[in-house]
Amino acid sequence: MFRWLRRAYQVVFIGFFVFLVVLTTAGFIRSYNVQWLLEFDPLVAVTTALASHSLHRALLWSLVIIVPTLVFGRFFCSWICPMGVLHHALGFLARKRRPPDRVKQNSPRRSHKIKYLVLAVILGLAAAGSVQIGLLDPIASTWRGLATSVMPALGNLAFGMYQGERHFQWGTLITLVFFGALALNFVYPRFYCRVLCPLGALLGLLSKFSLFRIRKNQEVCKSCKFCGADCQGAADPQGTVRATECMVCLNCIEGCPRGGISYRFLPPMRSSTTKIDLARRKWLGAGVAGAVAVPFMRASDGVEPRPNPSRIRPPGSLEEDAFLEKCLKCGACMKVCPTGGLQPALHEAGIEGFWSPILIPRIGYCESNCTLCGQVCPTGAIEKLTLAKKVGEMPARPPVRIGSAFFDKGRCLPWGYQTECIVCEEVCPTSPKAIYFKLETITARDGSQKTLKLPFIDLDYCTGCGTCETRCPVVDRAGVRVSAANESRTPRSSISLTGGKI
Amino acid sequence: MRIFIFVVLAFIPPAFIGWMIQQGHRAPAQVAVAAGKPRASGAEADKTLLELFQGELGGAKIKDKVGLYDEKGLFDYIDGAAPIFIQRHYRKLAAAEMASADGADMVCDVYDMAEPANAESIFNAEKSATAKPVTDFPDAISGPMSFVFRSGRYYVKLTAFDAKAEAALPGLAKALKGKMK
Amino acid sequence: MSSNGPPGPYDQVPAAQIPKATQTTSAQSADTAGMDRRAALRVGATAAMALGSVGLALALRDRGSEKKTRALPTIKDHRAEKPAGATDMAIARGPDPAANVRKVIEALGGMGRFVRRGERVVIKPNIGWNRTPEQAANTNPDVVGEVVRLVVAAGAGKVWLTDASVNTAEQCFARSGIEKAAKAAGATVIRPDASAFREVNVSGKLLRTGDVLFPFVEADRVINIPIVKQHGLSLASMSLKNWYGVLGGQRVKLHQNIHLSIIDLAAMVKPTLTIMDATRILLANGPTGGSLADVKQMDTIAAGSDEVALDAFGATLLGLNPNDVGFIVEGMKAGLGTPQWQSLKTVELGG
Repeated sequence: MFRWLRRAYQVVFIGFFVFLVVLTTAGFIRSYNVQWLLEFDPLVAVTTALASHSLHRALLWSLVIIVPTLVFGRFFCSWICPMGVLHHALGFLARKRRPPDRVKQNSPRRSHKIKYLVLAVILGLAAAGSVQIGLLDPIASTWRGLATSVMPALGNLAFGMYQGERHFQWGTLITLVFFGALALNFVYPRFYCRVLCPLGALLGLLSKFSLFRIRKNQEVCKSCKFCGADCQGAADPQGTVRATECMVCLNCIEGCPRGGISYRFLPPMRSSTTKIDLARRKWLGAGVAGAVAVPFMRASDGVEPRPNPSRIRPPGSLEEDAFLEKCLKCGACMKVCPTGGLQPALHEAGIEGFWSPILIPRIGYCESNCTLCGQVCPTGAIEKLTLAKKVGEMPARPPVRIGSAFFDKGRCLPWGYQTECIVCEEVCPTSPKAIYFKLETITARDGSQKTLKLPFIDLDYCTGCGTCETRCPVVDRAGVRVSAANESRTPRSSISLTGGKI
Repeated sequence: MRIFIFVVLAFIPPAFIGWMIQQGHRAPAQVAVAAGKPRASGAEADKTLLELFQGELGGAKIKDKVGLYDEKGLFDYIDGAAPIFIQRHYRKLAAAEMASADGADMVCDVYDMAEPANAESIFNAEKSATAKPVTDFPDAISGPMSFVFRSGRYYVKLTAFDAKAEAALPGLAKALKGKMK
Repeated sequence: MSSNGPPGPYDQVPAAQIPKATQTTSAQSADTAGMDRRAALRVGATAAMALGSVGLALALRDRGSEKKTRALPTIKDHRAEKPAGATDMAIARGPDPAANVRKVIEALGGMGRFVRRGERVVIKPNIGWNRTPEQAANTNPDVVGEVVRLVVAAGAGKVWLTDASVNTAEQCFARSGIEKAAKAAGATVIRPDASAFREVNVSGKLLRTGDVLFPFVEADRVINIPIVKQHGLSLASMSLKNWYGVLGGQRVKLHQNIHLSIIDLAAMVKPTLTIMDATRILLANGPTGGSLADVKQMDTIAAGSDEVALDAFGATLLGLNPNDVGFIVEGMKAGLGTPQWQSLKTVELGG
């Protein structure tokens, strides 16, 4: 009976999760807290707290998972986790016919220890200030897979039905990683959950204290091993139950023809084990390796002191060090951005910033009266901005700047080709406009006199939104482009003396 | 007992989702960006500005005429100090050389800053560490050979060149302030 | 529920076929007591973990306070009281730079007029560039050494010597000869690094806040030892412009409004005394120089507390009209001094 409840939970939670991901669209999102699951995610809370020494308030929700896990075990993996549901479903499709073969598929293996080493490396990286769970955290990965791979593919198939065509740079890589993880279920079910998932490892560690566990009644057992035929966690219910691997899917209870398996409060110690057969030096070594990797990553990256001009961050982003301590690369900001301008970085933000959000104005600009990216960011890497703060009121209060525009005078139509244009001035959203023009009379090729409007940029007003670059009629390399210099989040980046801070 | 637990657990997802939907359905609070107030129109404002120099000015008299300086002209008048006014949306400067009742030379600069907030901004920016506030005259500071005050959208700088003129500055300032509405 | 063949998974075996649990024995009841204690421990451990997690989470939570703007320090006024009838400015000419320094200080009333016993003093030469003394891009080391000696002799409690160079600090401080001369004379030489700066209020007309070398925040007296040089943007670099060297941050932005910036900085520092080095001056290709052909030997030292007057004098050495130099005019307007150096109580001493 409870197994049906578990299935209901799975359907409901993944349905609700996907529903909210779909809803993360300008115009539909209203006040929905689309990031609820990442706020529940204990791995997010632990790593961001380790790295930034403070816990974003919303992440207090992770206690709703942590405390019950301490009591009930690793129920999250089979009752709530959306990636878990996907893997469970695929695992079901990929399972072998005969129960004895299934028992072999779902038996514990040595490789199931690897996820604890992955967790150790991740915690080591976080302790040294680098949050790198984005790649492997199941919820962040599912978010990213849906937002930058599945939904764009569906949306583009449906001819831009609900959000318009979306393209993400090197999205194929994200697709391969996402579907690759899912495809591993054909090796054996729940491969990812058992071997790689660092969240599963964290919950497994918390399960060492669990008070409710699966228990096999030794007197009734005939060693038919049917209990292990559909064990999701490869927790060995047919032997000594491994409480750190058990996902409380309750399949073993139904599987036993004698009713010998039960889930009960404080079963005898010898009926279950919480031993993770991992030598201390192995996981300690993994943790240290993670921590030590950070200064190496930072020294060899070349990002400091010469930040990439294309590293234009969303408005409201923290200064880069703090940003990288919090960004999960979940892709929610990329999904919600109304113009599709926020893209996953490749090299622009260095190794640590891989797949973190940057604005590519050629693809989409930052809508001046929009603050959605900050609204959906689960960890506060992009702070919530009020519209008043983002737009500012010159000269008393400058706006939030994400960069500054500059003319490429060889590509710009008036400057380089003696051709009338100034679309950039037309679309510039600031008040007064950051792009202004001056009249100049030139002699055209045919000898006639021509008066051109030549555009200029006023750094005091330019916010770096990129509308000019997006709309510039010169396709490929635009005649006016935006670089990250003068972004307000980085004091050292300021070009203009206005404002009076040296 | 099992039934009770089952019911409780069954109740959690719909309750949770119902709560989330209810929370999310409200439209987000968006503070409307304040529309900028329309600026005083040029000719009208110039007239008001020039009128400040007419009539009784605490015994002082204009020597020649009142000059009006827009953004371009301001550079000619105060050179490198111009940007700090222009940044603050100053509309026009009315400047005149004056003589006090006993013939001492003074210069009177009245900046129409278009908005009281801009006048306040430039007043605070230009305040030097050695200037002292003036008793019975709010938003004013006096320093050696100088008297500066703001009133509404106007910012006034009075400069003297000797002790006689310095003594006449407060009188002129009071007279000017009285005319400013 | 019943099926043919052996029971498979999810088939229930009839209850009658399942053996009942056996009776507990006395050995098992003793075991039970032990198990109760272990059970209590397990529950206790879990409860402790739970409470610990909650406590830790609450302790670490972001209190969401706005980044507190702490009050920034303001640099104090370092000017000394002027005794009645004292000389305002002194100019000395002669082949020995150290002797010239002694002559001008004596004419001004001795270093004791400017530095009291126990006061903390920072001495600011121009050590901006990786050049030799002959190339006249930095202050003459003999001048620096003599000033340090006089300050130490006046009984100063602490004597710092520093400048934020444009080229790499180690090489500038060494090649200019200033580090060696200053250390020999007893100064604490500070070669700035990233941690040497403090954010302060500049409170100028243009500049609001900036990063400044810490000795300028902590000293009681500030002594300026600039060199006279031509400068591409500002026309000249002498006393007023020398305060550029107290800055960190993005000081390269100041060129956007160089004259007002120079005055804001000079008004912020309000130095005690300036000893202007015109032993060798740079006439062209400043402020970096390089070619000895641009250098002119003038064997002059001028000193005083009016930087505008000193700079006006220095401008004439460079062949410039002081009224053409923007920061001299702005300095006068800002009340920092007068370009009419001849109208001050000036003493000129020959060689």
